[in-house]
Amino acid sequence: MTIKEQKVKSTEKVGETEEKSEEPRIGVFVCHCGHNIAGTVDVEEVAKYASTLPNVVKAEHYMFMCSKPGVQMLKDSIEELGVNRTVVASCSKNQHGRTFANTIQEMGLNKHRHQQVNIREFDSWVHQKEKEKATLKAKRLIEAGVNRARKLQDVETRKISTTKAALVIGAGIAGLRASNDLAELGIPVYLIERKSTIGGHMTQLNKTFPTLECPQCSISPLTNGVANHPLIELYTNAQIKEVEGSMGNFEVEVEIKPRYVKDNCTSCGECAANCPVEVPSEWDSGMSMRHAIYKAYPQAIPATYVRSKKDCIECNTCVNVCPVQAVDFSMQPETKRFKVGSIVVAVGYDEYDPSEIEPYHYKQEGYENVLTQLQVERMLAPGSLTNSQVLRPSDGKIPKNVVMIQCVGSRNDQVGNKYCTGVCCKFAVKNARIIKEMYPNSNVTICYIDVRTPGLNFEELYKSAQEVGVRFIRGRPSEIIKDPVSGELIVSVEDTLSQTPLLLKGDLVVLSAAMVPPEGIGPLGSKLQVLRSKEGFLKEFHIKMNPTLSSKGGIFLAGAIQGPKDISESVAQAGSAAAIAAAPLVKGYIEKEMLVPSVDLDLCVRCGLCKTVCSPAAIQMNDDGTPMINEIACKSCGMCMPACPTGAIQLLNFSDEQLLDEIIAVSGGGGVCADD
Amino acid sequence: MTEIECEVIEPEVLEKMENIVVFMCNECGQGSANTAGVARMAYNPAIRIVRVQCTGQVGPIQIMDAIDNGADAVACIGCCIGACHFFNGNILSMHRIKLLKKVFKELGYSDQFVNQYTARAGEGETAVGDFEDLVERLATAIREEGTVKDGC
Repeated sequence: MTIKEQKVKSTEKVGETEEKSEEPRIGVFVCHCGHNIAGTVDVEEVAKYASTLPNVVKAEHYMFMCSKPGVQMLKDSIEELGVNRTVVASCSKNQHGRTFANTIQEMGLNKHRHQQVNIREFDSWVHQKEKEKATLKAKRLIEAGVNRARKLQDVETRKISTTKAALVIGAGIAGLRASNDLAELGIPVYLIERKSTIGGHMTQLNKTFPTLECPQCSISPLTNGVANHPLIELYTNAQIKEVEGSMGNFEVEVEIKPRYVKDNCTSCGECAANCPVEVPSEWDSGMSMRHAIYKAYPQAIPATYVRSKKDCIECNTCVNVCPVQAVDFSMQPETKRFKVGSIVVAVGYDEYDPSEIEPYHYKQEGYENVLTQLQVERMLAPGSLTNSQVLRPSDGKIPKNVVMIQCVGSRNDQVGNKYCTGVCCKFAVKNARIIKEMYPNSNVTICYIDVRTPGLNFEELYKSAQEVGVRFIRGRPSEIIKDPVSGELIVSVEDTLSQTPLLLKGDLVVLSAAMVPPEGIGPLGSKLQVLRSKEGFLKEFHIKMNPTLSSKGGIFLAGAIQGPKDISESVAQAGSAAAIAAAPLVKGYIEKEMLVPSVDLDLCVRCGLCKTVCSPAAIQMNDDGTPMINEIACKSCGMCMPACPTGAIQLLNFSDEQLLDEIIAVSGGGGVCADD
Repeated sequence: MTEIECEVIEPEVLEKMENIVVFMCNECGQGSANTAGVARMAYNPAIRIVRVQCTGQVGPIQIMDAIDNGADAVACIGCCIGACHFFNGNILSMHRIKLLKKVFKELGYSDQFVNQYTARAGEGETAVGDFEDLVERLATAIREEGTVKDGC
């Protein structure tokens, strides 16, 4: 295992370490948080109660502890009264625990001497109707905090050097942007793409809203730039096999599937022209055919052709016709290991498959004229089979009545997606306008629940679509029916504004399908050990304050993998991910708090049980059978503690003895601290 | 969100629940309780939350200490199965609670005084649901067999 090999190159103590034997002098500060706490909890009484607890030298209450004067109170108490442990009863540890910890660190105390007591989220906010009981609970919690603070020990912070390289998973617009930004900061980047080409969904589009710009023109400088950047190593047809290590020092194993075409390919296209196999093109959303040996689209990067082993009949025609003998069926998958410091996940999204919604008959026989927005986009794109025209797939004629259905697979409880994808309205409005401008004699209708086009220039886009004559009907269609006589499609919808049921003729029905998490995100998520939201997207650390960090340190999210996003948002998030992923790599180190267990060798019976439960494999056995703890790999989970039959192994600041003090107070032990 | 009304617990039973100690892990456990707090989801004020690094850190010592010092019930709330931030702490804890339930039964107490739950940081409902279930189970146990302090 590589985690074991991680070495601390520089060890430096941050913060002063003081004598453990000194008398604890505890300062308790109760926050009103405006009315948030004081409206439910009698803070005055709580502070008074706190002052009666042993070792408490100061107990006060104040309007906003996190404000400058509040923080000053902490500083003053340390200076004037010699307080050496602080307890602040206010919000959660995640919110302001760090504020106060940093404050006492500024004053020369170790920041682990601060104990945060949460009486807002855990008390006042949830017991608003039971003020007396909430006050009693606040007292108990504060007493527990004081008991806990009494024995808090200093925790040393160490600097761990980081590997100056980054891994970016996914080469769509977000991944490309993140790779480019990281490389521009001087960090070597390994860019991994599952498909054979880079560029992702953006290359499939015809025009981007709101300016109706050509996406190929926007993205090609970036794709070319990334492909030719000296600091970026690009691997296509590649997948993550294994991820080891932690923040700052990861080791990643990547499997690269062969293209079966060597790099000397000149992309002349002879092989594809002679290939007898034809299958629907995935890149073209099934709107055209490709061969078993193919290049997804003319501008594709890398330009080397690729053979799909699944589709190939091994007739060897391509091998024989290739003028430079680039086609080689004997190529084997290879495995590479990369050492990186940060990982950016930018694996994007998949378009929702509407065939799940039975009444819309998507992909069913006789309903060829039911398409998704991405398929229409492919028809409209330059160089398509239809010559950039929107035609009915059933007979290749210009549609007379185009009906677009919004919210297919999003805002729909029945398929399990409650969220609004947010881009479909813009997407549909744009395509409706393009179709209406192309065929002024055709009717274009959008059936919507709500039209959501927020942001600069989007309302204007919506207005412009209305002006060219796109019809908007408020109502979610219940069914697409096929007229048994004429064979025409009829969309059944209730106009909820005029409350009239309508049967709309639609010889082309376009479904605005949702964005859903991409296929294979489950295994990838578990390899990376990051959390996913209930919708299946990767969960961000904090929705407002850190939407770019994943649940695990050192792994960052960019683009639609964190939630549905349009191109501008994906690019913005990718830039942010690159910046914060680069920070520890540019700096060269990260700081780790040595909140690690220690072993009392007198009590240790050398049973090795602690080793068996240690998930990051931070405990190894010495030759004499005693455990040895790898302090860098340790994740401070404390799982080794209950495993030990004799209580020999104790996690710093979470030892049995320290927890007991807290438990006594919360269990109603009442005012008496454990003597020892 | 629809609120499902649980069976009403009699005030005399509720009165007997003074301190319910809940060990919540630093990750999903604390996270879901925070989310519940932000959403102002009310629950029984007897619930006392203790922050631990992982539910795998909570051993029989801690649980028995709590009961010994006056807790009416103890629960551990960790991450969902498969989502433990430390690989399998929640499962270890679950096994431990299962064994403790047997110990409680052997000693002649109700096995509902110790429980294990999971929660999701993004969904406060999960934590509140756990608390409600915990209170309900405790109420049933108190009605049938009395509190842990009564010695059943």
